[in-house]
Amino acid sequence: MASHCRLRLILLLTAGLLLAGCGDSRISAYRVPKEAPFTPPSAARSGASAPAIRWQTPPGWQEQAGDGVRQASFVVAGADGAQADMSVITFPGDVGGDLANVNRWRGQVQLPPIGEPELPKSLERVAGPAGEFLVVDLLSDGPVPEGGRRVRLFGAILKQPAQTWFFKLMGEADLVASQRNAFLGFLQSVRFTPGAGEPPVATPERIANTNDLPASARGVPAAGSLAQGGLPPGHPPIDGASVAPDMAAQPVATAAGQALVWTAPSDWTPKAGSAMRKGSYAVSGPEGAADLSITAFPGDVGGDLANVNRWRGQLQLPPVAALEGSAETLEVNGLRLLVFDAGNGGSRILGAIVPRPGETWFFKLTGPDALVARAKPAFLEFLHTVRAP
Amino acid sequence: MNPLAKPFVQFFTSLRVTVILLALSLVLVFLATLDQVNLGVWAVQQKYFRSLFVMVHVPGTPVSVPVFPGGYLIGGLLLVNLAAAHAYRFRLGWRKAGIWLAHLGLILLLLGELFTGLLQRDGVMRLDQGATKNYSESALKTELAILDTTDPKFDSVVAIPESALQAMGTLQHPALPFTVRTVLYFPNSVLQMRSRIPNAAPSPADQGFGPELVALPEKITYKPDEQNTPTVFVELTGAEGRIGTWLVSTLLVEPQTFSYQGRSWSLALRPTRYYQPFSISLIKFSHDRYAGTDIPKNFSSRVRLRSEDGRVDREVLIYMNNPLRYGGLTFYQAGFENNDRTSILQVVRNPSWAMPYASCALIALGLVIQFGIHLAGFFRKRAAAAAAIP
Repeated sequence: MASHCRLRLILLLTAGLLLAGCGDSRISAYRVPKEAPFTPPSAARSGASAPAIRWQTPPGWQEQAGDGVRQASFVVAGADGAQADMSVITFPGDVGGDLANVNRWRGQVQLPPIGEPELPKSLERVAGPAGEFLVVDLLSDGPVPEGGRRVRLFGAILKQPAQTWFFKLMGEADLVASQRNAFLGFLQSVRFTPGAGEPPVATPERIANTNDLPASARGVPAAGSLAQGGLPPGHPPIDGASVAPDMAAQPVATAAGQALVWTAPSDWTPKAGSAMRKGSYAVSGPEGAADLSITAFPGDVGGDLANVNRWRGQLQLPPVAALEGSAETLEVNGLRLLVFDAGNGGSRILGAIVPRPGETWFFKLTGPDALVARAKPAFLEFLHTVRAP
Repeated sequence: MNPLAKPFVQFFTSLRVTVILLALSLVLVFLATLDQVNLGVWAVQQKYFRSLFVMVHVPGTPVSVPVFPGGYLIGGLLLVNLAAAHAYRFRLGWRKAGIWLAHLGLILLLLGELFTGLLQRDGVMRLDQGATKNYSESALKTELAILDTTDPKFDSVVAIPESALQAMGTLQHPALPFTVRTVLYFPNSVLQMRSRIPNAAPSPADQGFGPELVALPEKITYKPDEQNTPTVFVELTGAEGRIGTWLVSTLLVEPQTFSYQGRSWSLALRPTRYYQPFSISLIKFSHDRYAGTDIPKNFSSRVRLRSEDGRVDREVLIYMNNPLRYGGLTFYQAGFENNDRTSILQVVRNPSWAMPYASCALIALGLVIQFGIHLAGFFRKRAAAAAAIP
């Protein structure tokens, strides 16, 4: 009897284990409270449709339509056609630090860069409801551009944990000076939308991870071509170009630095620039097409050696310890150009690095080895047309 | 004993079977380790350990054949073997108490893994600073969510798992006034704008975003740092006939909406959601680095836990090795993104999480008792031998 009991127990255990292997794929139905309205990440990235920042426009300031970079834009008109431009911009991170930012602004009014020791003297701290602003007042030594008028720049930097806000009023010196109180009043009126916590900024989906979760669980972007998020409301995606640029991965373009000018050969086709590019050309030939990009970034972007090694890295070449042999210096129109030329694995990069006050310009021609090598004389000739206005 | 049952009992109580099963499990672990290169850890677990047989696809046919016993079969047989040996061979008695306890621990350990395999559910909760959620999402499974959004306060959801769509049949549910038929199913895919691929075949979809898009199938990925992005074309048919065909994909962030019989509906393929009767809000995510470096020192999420019935409302700090355990779920700090403003919590439901601890304690206790009994016997014998010496 007891043995029957035991036998049954074992049979039951075996059957139970076999049944346990069956999976479950049933349809489920339930009710949930409505979620908050869908906010597409793309809108939050540009900040265009959902500004978390609020302000009061001072009298006499005319608000302009913002663009992809500017959160807000104003024009202040004075007597006899004098004008000043006010911009509100935000970028992730600290954008190179206070010194780089101040020197970028100094470059815009043609003042020489300052060093760290002079920095505290040129900054005024102004407390407001939105936080502490670092305010600078910069007056050009001479007319900008030549033959024009002297220029004044009021700038304010507001640092938040994840991003930095820049407020800049720049224009004819007397007009800007007369707007000092309006500018400071504007800063005092800045508020960030309650509940939004921190304002939206251009941030890519970046993952850093800390344990052995499956990557999918960590939110690693999908294998598909479309990056996570990035769909405007009511509109389908999907192409590489529609995805916001990876802003955190590279330094930020100066929004209104004093541009270099150049003349491109007629057989180079201008391309639509992006927010990151100051200029963009296609150079084509029987070997294919090469891309010339012109960009500018605040600060020295790590220095000449780091930049040369970054380009070498893009060609999968090992880094070098010194510039000798990898780049040569060219003096053009009072500018010092560091010219780089290297190829590997069928690709070639022909580039020039141009340090400017507070920023660095990059001219880079990338493409098939043969095509870029053939375009080198044209590229060098092109570099000779580059000048500061 | 019943003569029919005798060979059966003999087989299951045999020590030889135990040895063969242990050898087979060694081979299974070895094979699975090799295949992890191709499949990744999750797929290997399902194929080798959480299955009765290791199935191999015959190239060129839709047939899969069993080639090796799987983890459930080997583990299950070991369990039966162990239980049967106890039932038939061992005798209850104080002298064997240690062995009994150790074996009971072993049985619990095997059962624990079985229950973990069957009941454990992994999910992810991705919270922006200030956001509140009362659900976690599966990292691996997706579902077609059909929402009746007519009610201004509530959504009625019918969630169809991807595995049901994969069967390519017609599905019906009492809560839906239409049937759902899978027209085309890509387990992994990319989407392109139709304008970019002028020669693409016409889309099976005639509603929503589908007509403007081209779905291209991709090879299923098992890489740990990639995720499959399925696309499904579903045709909805009501009592009066066909309503339309939609393209749904996890690549589309926004649901697609339509009206039918005076009610508003929305369709989306999304990670499978697991709702829970409480909500979690992210108050602040902190990411500390060692001074002057980018080397992470600590990650933590300060969250607010609120139960639906209002009885619980408290703040909790979740950080590495200090998860929040609540309502049968464990929330671990798993990652972050979006410039440190989004925290990712791993959400694990494993009702049998305590079983391995209990079984290890039982095994240890059993061994201590067994060796203790032997040691006591040894001392007794020695004392007796010493006393016997004249």
